[in-house]
Amino acid sequence: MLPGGMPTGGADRSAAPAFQSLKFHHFAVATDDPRLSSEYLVALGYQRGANAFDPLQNVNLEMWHHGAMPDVELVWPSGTGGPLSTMLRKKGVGIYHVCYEVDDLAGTLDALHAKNLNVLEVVEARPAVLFGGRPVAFYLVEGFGLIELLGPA
Amino acid sequence: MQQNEKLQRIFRDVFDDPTIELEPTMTADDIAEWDSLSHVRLMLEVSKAFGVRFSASEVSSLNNVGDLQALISSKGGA
Repeated sequence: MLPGGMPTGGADRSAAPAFQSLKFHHFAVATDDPRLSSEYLVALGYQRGANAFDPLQNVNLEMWHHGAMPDVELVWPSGTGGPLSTMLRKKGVGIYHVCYEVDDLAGTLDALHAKNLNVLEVVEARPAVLFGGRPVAFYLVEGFGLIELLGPA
Repeated sequence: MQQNEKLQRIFRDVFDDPTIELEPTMTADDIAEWDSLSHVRLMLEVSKAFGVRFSASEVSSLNNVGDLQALISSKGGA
């Protein structure tokens, strides 16, 4: 711990076996202007990937890939309602969530709780339209924000 | 601290409104800042304060404050 009680980090994986499978997958950017957002990504050398409409969240999704940088998912609302529109109205364009691949959604959630982290399930596990139907769930983590856990095929 | 008193303190903190007086019939229409975004933040705070976990379907199925009070009680929240 640093002075002031700040954890120093480090890979203490032995205490949480569920985290050993955890891998960063992408971060998502909420936008109300996908054309403008994609212009920025193209300028950085990103290439457009798969896209889909998610009827459950009423949002459009589009993956962007880069040879040397993390994948980015652009997310924009299909209509005017819903949490994403509210977030855009209140906070503007910005990072929406961080996604991790895991072997076991429930096990990872249990491991987060076991670390005494305050985590709330926001969207329960369901097939991800952009990732071949792999199970995906969203959680709000106190002190961090929204995370997405992407399970195995 | 009574459940309602604790819950009222959370509502006042989350919505930054010290005048909120909780009633079981109160809904999101009664609090200007209570939208889908602040609702999940509210539930995160409630979860922590009462030591209970909620599923996504529970989070999204509440109709009013009374539903939330009943849900907390059903989970033994203290």
